[in-house]
Amino acid sequence: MITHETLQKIDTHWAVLAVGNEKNRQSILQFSKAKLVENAVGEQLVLHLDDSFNDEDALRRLAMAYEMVAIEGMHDFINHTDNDELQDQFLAGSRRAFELYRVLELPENDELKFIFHLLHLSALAYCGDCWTDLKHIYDDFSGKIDNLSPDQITEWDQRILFRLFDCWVSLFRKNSWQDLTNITTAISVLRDEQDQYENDYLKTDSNNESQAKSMRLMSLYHWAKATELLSLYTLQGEPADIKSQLGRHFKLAIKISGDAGDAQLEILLRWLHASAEQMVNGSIWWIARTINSKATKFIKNLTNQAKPLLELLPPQKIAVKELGLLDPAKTAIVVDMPTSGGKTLLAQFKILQAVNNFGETKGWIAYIAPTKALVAQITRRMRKDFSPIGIKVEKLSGAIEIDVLEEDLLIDAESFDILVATPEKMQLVLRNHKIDRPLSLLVMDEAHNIEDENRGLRIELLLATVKQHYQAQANFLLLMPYVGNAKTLSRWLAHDRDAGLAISLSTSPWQPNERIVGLVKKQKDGSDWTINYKTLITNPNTIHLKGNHQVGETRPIRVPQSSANLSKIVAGCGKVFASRGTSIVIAKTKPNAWSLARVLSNNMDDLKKIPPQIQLVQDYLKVEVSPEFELIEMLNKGIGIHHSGLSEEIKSLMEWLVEEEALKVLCATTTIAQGINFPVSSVFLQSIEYPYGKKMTYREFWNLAGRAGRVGQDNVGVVGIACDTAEKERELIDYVKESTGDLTSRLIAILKSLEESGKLNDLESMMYAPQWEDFRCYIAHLLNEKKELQATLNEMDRMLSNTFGYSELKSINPRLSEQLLETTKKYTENIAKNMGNVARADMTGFSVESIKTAMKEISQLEYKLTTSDWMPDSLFGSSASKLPDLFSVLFKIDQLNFTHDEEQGRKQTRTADIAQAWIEGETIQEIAVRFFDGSGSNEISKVYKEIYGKLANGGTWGLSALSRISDINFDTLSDGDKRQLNLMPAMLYHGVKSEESVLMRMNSVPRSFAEKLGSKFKQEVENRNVATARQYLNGLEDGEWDFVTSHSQYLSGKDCKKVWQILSGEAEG
Amino acid sequence: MNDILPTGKANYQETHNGMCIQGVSYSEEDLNQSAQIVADICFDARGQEDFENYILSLGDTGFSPIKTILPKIRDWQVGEGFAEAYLTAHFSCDFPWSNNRDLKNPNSSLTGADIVGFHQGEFAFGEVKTSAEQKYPPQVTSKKGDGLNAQLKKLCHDHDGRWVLVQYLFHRVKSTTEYQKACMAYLKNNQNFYIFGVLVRDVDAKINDWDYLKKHLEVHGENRVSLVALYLPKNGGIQKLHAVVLSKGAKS
Repeated sequence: MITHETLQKIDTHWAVLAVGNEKNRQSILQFSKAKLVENAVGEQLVLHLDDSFNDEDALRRLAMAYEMVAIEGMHDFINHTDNDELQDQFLAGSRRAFELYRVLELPENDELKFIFHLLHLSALAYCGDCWTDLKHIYDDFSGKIDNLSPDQITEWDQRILFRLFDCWVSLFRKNSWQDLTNITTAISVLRDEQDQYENDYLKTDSNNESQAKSMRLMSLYHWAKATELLSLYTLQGEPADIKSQLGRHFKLAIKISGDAGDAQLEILLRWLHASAEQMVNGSIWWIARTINSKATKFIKNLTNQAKPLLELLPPQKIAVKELGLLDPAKTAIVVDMPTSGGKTLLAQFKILQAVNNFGETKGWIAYIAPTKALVAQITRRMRKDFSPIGIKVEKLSGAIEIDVLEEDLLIDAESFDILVATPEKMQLVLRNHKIDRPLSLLVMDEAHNIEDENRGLRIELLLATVKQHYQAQANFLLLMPYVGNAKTLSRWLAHDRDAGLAISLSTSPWQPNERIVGLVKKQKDGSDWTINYKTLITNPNTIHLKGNHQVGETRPIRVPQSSANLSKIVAGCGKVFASRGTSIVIAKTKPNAWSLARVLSNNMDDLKKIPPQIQLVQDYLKVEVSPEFELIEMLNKGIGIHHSGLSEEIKSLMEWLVEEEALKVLCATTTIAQGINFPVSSVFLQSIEYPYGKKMTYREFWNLAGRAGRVGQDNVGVVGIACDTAEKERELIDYVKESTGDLTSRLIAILKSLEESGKLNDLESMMYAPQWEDFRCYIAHLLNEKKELQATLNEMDRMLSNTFGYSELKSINPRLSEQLLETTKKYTENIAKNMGNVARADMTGFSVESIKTAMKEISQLEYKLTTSDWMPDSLFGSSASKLPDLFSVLFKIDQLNFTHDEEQGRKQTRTADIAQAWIEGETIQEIAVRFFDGSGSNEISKVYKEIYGKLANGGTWGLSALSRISDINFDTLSDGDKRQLNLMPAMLYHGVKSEESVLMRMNSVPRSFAEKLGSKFKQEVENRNVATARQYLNGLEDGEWDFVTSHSQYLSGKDCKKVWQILSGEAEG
Repeated sequence: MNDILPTGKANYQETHNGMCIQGVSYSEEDLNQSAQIVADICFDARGQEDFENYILSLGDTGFSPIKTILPKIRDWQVGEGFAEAYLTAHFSCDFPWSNNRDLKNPNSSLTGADIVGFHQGEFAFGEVKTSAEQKYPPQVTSKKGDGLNAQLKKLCHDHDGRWVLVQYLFHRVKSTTEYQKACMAYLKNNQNFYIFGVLVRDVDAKINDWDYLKKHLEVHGENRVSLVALYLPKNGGIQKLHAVVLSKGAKS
């Protein structure tokens, strides 16, 4: 495996030292990086380098030197000898050699040279574990490659060579299943052609020449056979003894060409043999052998996709093959991997392993993702990959309550194997023991959120809950980027010391691509202006090219110099870099994001042809938002928007457009850092601060910056941070130099800040502060589980030890841990005085204090709430609705986090009215006009903020909780009423008013069609639940979709179906 | 019998545009003395056996076996053997693996050099041409494609081609020290190598043999290219050498 150490070590190899002195070699490396950047973004970024070194010959020699380093270890690598050091030397040397060779010009004018050069370069990339960098080279030369057809060549050896070149191009770039299948055909054609061409080729006056030619052919025939074997293995995982078969044919091919004095062929074959070894090592089939038959089916499915997945990315390969990801003895695994390193696939392997161990127990797997968008995205991916092999995947809504349809889902043992949800939702499920089946595996994506100021403690305590209740059978898999102390985390979660495993690859030499990170500044140019780009020295060691480089042309945005502020600068960068793939431009606030999009809109041309994907989204927006929605017009220019002032669906569609490469620029806010899971070409930030002045953490920044550059497409990702003052410049220079560091528990961070502010002595009263809310909920939960105070106190130390913070604290600061324990005990004693409230708290997810507030407020209402007040019809439909009063109660509960603003006075009524309008099916535009006096983008954003920021979160949670703690006697309710009552929050969450429509919405049907489709579903299907709804949707014909959308002038049935497929992740056809 | 090729008689020597040019002639007696050394270089019993095995190995490739006749040692190969023996003896060159097993494929542009080895701590690459033509200079020096001029020019200026030969050599050398030394010199400056162009003739020694190369060959560095003509006795010297070499056979 290639590590920084092996790379450093080969820098002192005799061959490398021969090239020149240290300074010289550094200049060469710098020159190669500059060339790389120039090749990649030369059209967008004009480099003005301080260092004028440009000795191409020296670069070539250094490349050769590293190749020599590799060659020394080649024999050991191919023959799997015991000499690991030489094997690593081979890999590291290949990598460095590739990094240098790739910037040298390809000999395009000589076809044979071109073939040999490209295959050699590809082999180096493979052996150096950087094959993902090859794709763009192949893209750049696709025209040339396509023109190299063997069909016109009659000279038999060349005909074979050209054909094999074609095959290896397919093997290296793995574009499609078809490409690889064609290899077998190509080799068969060669066999058929042998009779036709061979005799003529061998006809010669000289026996010697004939013998030499014969040997050349024999070498090529063995190579052809090896090629065929490798392609078969890549596609089907067979033959099982692939390595020995490849070894035999390659060794013969090499020996024969060597004996024939065909040096060039021999050397190429040696490299291809090593690459074939690497391909088999990284083949997804190699993994199948380690898991089970389900994995084989899963892999078959992956290899059959339109974009087949045939090979593991280097960090995936290392995680599985070298670091023991699939070791069954490891109960807690923490994977620390770079952004875009392919963590999800690793989770899928682990899931397959867990499913295999279910046996008769009907176990289940919890998959936790931090945001609703990511929950949706993960569900789509899991469903797409796992449904074909019979593994069922369901997701829970983002509402912090479990509605009746979700209850149905959770109690049905047949309904799912994998459950995807946000931490908040999963916590509710786990603490309330909603699933009566053993939890086999908990996967937590983006687990670094454990340190998040707002949600970190909640996430940590969720893990502690699982440790507390489910550890006997549940394993943990935590996925995160850039975390220094993965080992500590894995030990915390593991059964015992040896059962923890940390797979730390974030800082490994493999990165999805090279990156430049720099400052973008305005440069005055007489009366005009340009954008200046200055690369920075960063902690992850991105490319630094000293000098002042220029982004695009003069005045990239049409405004005078005096108006070219930060926002115009990032807009300018976004515009310029959009020509090479989607750029994300990040604004500080939502209005800023809109205004950035407007600036871009005024400065960019309409797309020559609107892609069908954009058209589809435009039509969707016309229906779901408004035909006048500003974003629709912007999309004509390839400009998208992504921020919390939009619905989850719109955000998902924007992400889909990026994935489809239909967008040029996506304008977002800083909050995208917490949820982005799709790669782009470039990222430009107006600021590294969140709207309220708080800076992004280093980890968040690098997670975001890590998205710059698409694996296999951009060889250089570009990140720019706008800057306008010398002070800010200094600040940013320091910022990017900082390391991401260890992950710390929020519990420790909170205690530390109390200590620093001298408030630790008053911990007992400080514990009632909002930042302790999640901790207090956890304590209430522990007490409610034990039911008995003394037993809880007796076990408090052990139970608290399940938290990361407390367990760490015990070893680093025993005095403080003791203090925390004592204070916690006192708090427990205090709440134990009213065990009813403790039970209510545990049931609702509220803290005991919130329960008290809520009960007090309800009791102060001028009337007593009745069961009928809670029924959806009454709550959302009637003029006598109690909703305004209920919201007045909710606004008093801090835990629900209804932010205060200047409109506080009329807010509670308005919130209730908006809730009613939302459920009644009013369009977003109508709600905007009615409640925010307009339907511009800002008003639309406000509506979405109201709905998704308040109603869907605090609103549903709060109403659900209030209904449970009010005096309703659930036992006396009819089943129908109970169902209606339990459905109320879901209706609010989804903006529909019937159970069937909720089922449609749970399955990602656009809201505008959910009611109509829901009632059709009700008429046609008797057994209605989430799964049957999905089956129903899958079975709908285009004509039926047309019926559903007949009232819409913008979206046809077929389009609606397409949108549904995108949002739900259901495969077409 | 002597292990070293006889010195022969120096006929001419000059330097021209960075090339060192010399001509050496040999008597029939010299030939007889050289026969065993050249035979050892040229004969290859195992090569023949391998070749037959290679044909058999095609069985599991799905391709049909190749029908071809094994050749005998040819004149030009004997010339190449003689040239190698000469360079080894008189230029302190070392060719680290037995060159005789390397068959030449004259029509392929992908072949390596006739001679790859070391000279004075650096890599040495060479091409050998054997010609019984009476004309001066013989066509083998000027022929397009595979003439000596074209081949030497390629060796002097084609970095990539040379790098292949350097790797080719790596997989065969026994002394890593010698290889490392040459490789380091080469990586320090990729003009650090020697080129040998050898003509084996059976005509009178005349410097005119080099007229074409003197006019056309651009060398990579001063005094790094040696052009050597080895003159065997005229009127059939090459065939005679062939005959004596065949009569000796390989040393057991």
